[in-house]
Amino acid sequence: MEFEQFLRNEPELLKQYRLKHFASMKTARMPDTRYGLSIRLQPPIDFTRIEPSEAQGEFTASKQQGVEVHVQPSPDMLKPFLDDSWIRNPHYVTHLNQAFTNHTVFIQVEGTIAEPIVLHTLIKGVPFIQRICIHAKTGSSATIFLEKNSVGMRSGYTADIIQILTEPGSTIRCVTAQHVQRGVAVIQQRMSQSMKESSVEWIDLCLGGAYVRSEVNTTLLGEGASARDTILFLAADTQLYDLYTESRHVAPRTFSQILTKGVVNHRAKVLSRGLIRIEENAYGSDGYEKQDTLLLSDEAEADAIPNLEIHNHDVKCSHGSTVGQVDKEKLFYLMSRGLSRKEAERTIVEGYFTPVLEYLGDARKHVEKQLLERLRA
Amino acid sequence: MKDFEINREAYDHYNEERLTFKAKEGINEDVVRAISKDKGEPDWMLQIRLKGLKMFKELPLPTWGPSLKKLDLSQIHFFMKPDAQRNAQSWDDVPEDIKKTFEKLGIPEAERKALSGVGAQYESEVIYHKLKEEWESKGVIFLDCDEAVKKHPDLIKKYFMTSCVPIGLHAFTALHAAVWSGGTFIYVPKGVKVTMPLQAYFRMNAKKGGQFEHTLIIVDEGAEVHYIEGCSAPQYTQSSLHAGCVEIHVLKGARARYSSIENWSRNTFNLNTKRAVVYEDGVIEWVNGNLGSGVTMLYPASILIGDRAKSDFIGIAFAGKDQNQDTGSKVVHIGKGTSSTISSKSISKNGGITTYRGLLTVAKGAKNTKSSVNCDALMMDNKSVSNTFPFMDIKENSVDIAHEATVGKISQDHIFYLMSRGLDEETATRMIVSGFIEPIVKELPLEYAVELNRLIELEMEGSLG
Repeated sequence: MEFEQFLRNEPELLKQYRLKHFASMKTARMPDTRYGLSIRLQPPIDFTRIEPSEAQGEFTASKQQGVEVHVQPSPDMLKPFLDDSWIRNPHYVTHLNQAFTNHTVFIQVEGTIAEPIVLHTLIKGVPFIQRICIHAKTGSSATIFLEKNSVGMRSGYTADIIQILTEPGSTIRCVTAQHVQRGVAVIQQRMSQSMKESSVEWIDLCLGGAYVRSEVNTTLLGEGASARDTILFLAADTQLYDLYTESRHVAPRTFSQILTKGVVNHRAKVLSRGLIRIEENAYGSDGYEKQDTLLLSDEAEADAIPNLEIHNHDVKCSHGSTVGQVDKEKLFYLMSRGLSRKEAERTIVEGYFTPVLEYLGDARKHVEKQLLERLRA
Repeated sequence: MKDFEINREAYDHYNEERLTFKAKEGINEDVVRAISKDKGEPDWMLQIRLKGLKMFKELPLPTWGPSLKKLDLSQIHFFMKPDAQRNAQSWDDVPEDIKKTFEKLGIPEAERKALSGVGAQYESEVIYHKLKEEWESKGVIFLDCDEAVKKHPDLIKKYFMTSCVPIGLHAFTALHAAVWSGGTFIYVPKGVKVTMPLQAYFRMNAKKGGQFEHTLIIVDEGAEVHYIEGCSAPQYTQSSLHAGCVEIHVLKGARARYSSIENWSRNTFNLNTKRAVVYEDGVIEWVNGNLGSGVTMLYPASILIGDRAKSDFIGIAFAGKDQNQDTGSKVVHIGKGTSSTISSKSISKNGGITTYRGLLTVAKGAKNTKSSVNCDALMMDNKSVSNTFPFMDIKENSVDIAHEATVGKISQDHIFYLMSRGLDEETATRMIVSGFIEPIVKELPLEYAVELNRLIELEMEGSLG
């Protein structure tokens, strides 16, 4: 479809915004596929061949008091989310997603929402490029479950841009689970901006797709803001995951934690990159980054690049990363108790995730269920 | 703290240039041929140099690290030969002003302490070299590299920029191959264990002087050696370049330790390449200190080819005002059951930038690999920057890899505790910093440990401003 035709019904503000990013696509660099000397992860898709098209799929949302969900939001609602400050280190695909978004959801949260807000997207045609903007009003709190599936897809491209804006004192826990069919290339761009004393928690379950590139950018703008990113992944067969998380501390006394944990089996390959950046003014901040990978097969590959950039000395910042294998003694013990090798291995993998699950509060059950389903599949 | 006072002049001191041969600024084939001719080298070495020059012109300069924009290669003298007689046999033969410089750097003391041998590099050539007779009788060769080209061409042909650091590894190894001069050659024969450390002291003096020394160490099967290198360059205003190369071949069951404290002057670009190839059951140990230079890019690498080979790296970097210390270590695990540890510490102060940049690669087939990486950074003030960029590339599943890093300032609780014991704040801070670098200092021979402590204290002076 021609871009002009794609834009025919857009309000002026959004039209200009898309045109700006469309123009930037011409000069933008391609996303990095090489890191350092020997780390390489080549996407199995040519991004330049993606064209704008109408969305094909189904979207459902639970209805609750205090929560507004709009599938055709007005330009006024979206305005705070279209600011350039959201875009960090853009590349070709960043601009492409901004220009070609074909499904937009706006959620506004007010007050304390007791039950999780459940949103479900079923993709029936590609490219499906979704933008979800979550605006948490002052003092509000909510847990949001976002689930994504697909039917009838053997290849193609899908992307989601999730933006969370937390006003002072608000709390958002956002749990995303991606079960897109194998063969599909997935780009996930998650961004959050947190104001004073507010907190964002990203919990991402990376399970499906042929290739996933996930970029999580959290920015702590207000004093005392905090962010926790937890990324859990299971990669098998020939899946390729390129997972990036960045926490940027702009304001004093901010807290961030990044946990990336997962299992790589068969010939799958996972690259986890992380960055904690503490800006000059962010004194009294605390940043922690941890990446753990368990390798289950000889052919599996795991690469890790946990970076720190610290521009203030009055901080506490650390990172750790481990890559290991299934402990042979544990395996032997379980097998001596009558479990088959496969069962024993699965038990160990389940146990591997337990310490993280305990962090997740009211999202634990939801996450555990999806993880186990996939493990047992 | 009187004992630890240090005369800064000793490190920023320079003598008038006394050179018998000084190559024109910049690099081209004539310069390379002139160097080779002046040294009276055989043709095969000239061919290596020309090959290096050709590759240097083709290879790009690195763009991923600190900026090299201020490095103007056309302004650098690629070769200088000091006026002293080559390889003076006794201390009395060394000219007076040069001797004075060495005295300030403590070389006579080092010799008094009966260290095995001393090679001091003034400008680009070794002028003082002595090896204890007992080692010579066991067949240990400890020569300057230029001389080794003539006396041991077979060993040089086999090991010089071949399997360890290939000429075309990157732009600066190619440049090094073209213009290298001086340095140390060590060969330890099978089964010989050199119990006392061998050492050489390098020093760069003439304005814009390039230093391209080549260190080639071959530790034959079952042998052992500890080599120490220290560097200190006086202060100058124009940028100079240090692009040395260290190659260490650790053969089956051998063990080598390479210690160096580098303290080039602040306007130096220190772009050194250090690499060890370790065969079955061999062990390489790196002790690395980087205090000086404006820009340092140095990542000692260990290639663990043989089964059960082992590498240990400990490093410390100190960055003060206008300094960018980009250091780290690389380990490539190829053999089965190989293991490595990396422990890196850095202190940044007064706007200095320290970066740990490391690479850990586990190749396919390197089963039962173990590796642990530890980085700690101490930041003294708010103007400074500390970065950690570790890269881990794992292509094998039977591995056990752990990486940890911390960045922070000196704990106020610790300061408070020491002050409550009657120390003033500056002494308390100094003590904590000494404690922070302790794991590295204790790996050094005594006089180097004292020197490192002094240097750090000198740098820390007035840090409470």
